[in-house]
Amino acid sequence: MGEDILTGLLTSLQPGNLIIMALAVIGGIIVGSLPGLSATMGVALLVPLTFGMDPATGLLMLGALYTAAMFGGANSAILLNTPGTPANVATTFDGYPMTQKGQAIKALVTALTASVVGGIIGTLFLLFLSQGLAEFALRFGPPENFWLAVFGLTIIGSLAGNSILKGMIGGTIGLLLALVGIDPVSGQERFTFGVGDLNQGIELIPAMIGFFTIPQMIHLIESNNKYVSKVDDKKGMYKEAFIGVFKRPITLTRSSLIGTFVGMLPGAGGNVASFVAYNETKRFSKNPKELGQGSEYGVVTSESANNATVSSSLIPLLTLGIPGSPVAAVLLGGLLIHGLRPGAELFQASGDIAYTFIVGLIVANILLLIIGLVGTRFFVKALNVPISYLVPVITVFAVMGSYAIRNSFVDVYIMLACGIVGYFLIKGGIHVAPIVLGLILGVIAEQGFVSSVIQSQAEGNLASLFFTRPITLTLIVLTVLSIFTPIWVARQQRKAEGKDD
Amino acid sequence: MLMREQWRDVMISITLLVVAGLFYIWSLDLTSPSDIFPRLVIALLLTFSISLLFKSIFVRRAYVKERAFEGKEEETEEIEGEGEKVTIRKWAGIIALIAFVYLIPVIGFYTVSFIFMGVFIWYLDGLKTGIFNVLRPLITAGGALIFIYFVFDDFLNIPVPEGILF
Repeated sequence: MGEDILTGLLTSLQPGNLIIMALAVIGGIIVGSLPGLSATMGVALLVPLTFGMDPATGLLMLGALYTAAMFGGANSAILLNTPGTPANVATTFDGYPMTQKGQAIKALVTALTASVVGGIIGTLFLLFLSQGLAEFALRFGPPENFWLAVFGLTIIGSLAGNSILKGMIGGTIGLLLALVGIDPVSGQERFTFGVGDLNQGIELIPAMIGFFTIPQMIHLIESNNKYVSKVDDKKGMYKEAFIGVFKRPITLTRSSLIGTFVGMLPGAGGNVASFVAYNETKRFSKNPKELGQGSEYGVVTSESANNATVSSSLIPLLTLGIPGSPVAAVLLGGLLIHGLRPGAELFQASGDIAYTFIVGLIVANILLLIIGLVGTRFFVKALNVPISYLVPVITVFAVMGSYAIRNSFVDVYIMLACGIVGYFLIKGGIHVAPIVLGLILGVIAEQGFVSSVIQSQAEGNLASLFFTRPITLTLIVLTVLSIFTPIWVARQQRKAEGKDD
Repeated sequence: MLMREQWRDVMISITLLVVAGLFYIWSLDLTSPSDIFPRLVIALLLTFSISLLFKSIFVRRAYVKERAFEGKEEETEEIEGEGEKVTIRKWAGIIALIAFVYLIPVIGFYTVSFIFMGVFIWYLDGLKTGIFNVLRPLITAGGALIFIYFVFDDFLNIPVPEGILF
């Protein structure tokens, strides 16, 4: 293994491979930044390009693009409150408020550094612990997935703003939207109203573009300001932000570990990971009210968690041959066309290529750091564009990005409807983040719930299926803690304040 | 007498109750197990909507607090120029967006986008006259569409929506 790792390192450091990876990183940042273009789409487009390449080089290119695309979405999330990918939704909570405070550069560098650290931690797990983790991930059946989704939904408390009740209403609206389409278990059509394109359900990305981009554009028009915000580009900002990330080692490590854990579960991904990590950071924070107001902790937690999922989502693929995410499925195609069969055999028969790919992900993260730091100077220039120019251009990109997902105009209508409804819901005090969370987790929760009910009909005991398995029990305890800890902390704080008074 | 914020929440809760009712009616055709989760979600929405309705009518104290909190925000927005002009701009934006999306499949993506961006940038820029003030929005619109053409149409091979023009 040690020899393979060294070979992998030397191969990925070859000048030709470094250049290809650097180009893929630039491409990945662009793909990630544009709402509607996903890492899956980018990797799928590059797979045919790898035909004529040496397998190791081809895989290094794909890995580099995947890594960079996950970070790329943070740029638009931070600068314009428009997440490039669903995994960057949680980055908007603190990233955009930082931009509004003039700290756009600080937020971008913080996001970049946290992404790189999260990516490297996730890759180290892939490198050294993948076999054991893959076997653990396989123990996640329908009841575990249901409780994971329920645990995820407790995050609504963190996203609700002033009213928990309105947060729960938002989450329920998201769950309701997730019901549209063919029922994943029985195959029956639900709430599609005869529109064929709705059979596949409401696509997450057009809905996300609608809920975040359109209200933000209308808000910018309302603001009557010339620019989104000023940029505070004082000397030493880059260094300060870079070092600042490492001054939060617990948040960084915890979020990266959550990202690694959630990423390897089939069906969950960067979006779930960043929400879960954000909730945990808020729970353990000494000043939870700071989160959501432009706290670096929020950016660190979201970005380290979502980038940690890049490598961990490959764990089931590389060790067991099971693609647990859409990108992993595309990468599976990339491996197969080069004659590489994922699974235990991969590490024995083609260990040099497998380890080159894995070690290459670490190299890709380092390249991402260098290119991202240089690129930040250019990304931030988006804030120098007047709002009068920015709003119409971004709106056109939002329409095109929504259409690009399935080449369906129904997705554009969905985006428009979500956007306008989202704007009025925000005006009514219902935040859009819980809606998107409900939409993400609704599908996982329903599949887990209904599959468990069917399974229990065969086994005869629903309660034991839901409440006695070790992982479900752990998740139930975490869910209960997640609900009651903030209440308990608030009560303690009130008591303490009462004593002070 | 209910406060403005209370009326707002009354309207929201009634709308949500109607939505929940409609979804319940539509769910009547569903058979088991397709109906289990929808009924659960509809029940949750009903519960939360009724809770909001109850709160908006009977818990006035919560809204007094909210108004005190929002009062500070409104003050800042007032300085930024909240007024009739802004409201007109906002509604113009929403109507332009709806018209833009409606016209794409009729006329074609590139044509409608060019007109939408050119005119809307000019409008948001204050309808300034002068050759450069008119040309700049058009050049921006053209540049953005060239970028979209190369990224989506040429490189990604994603066909853009077409209409009677292009």
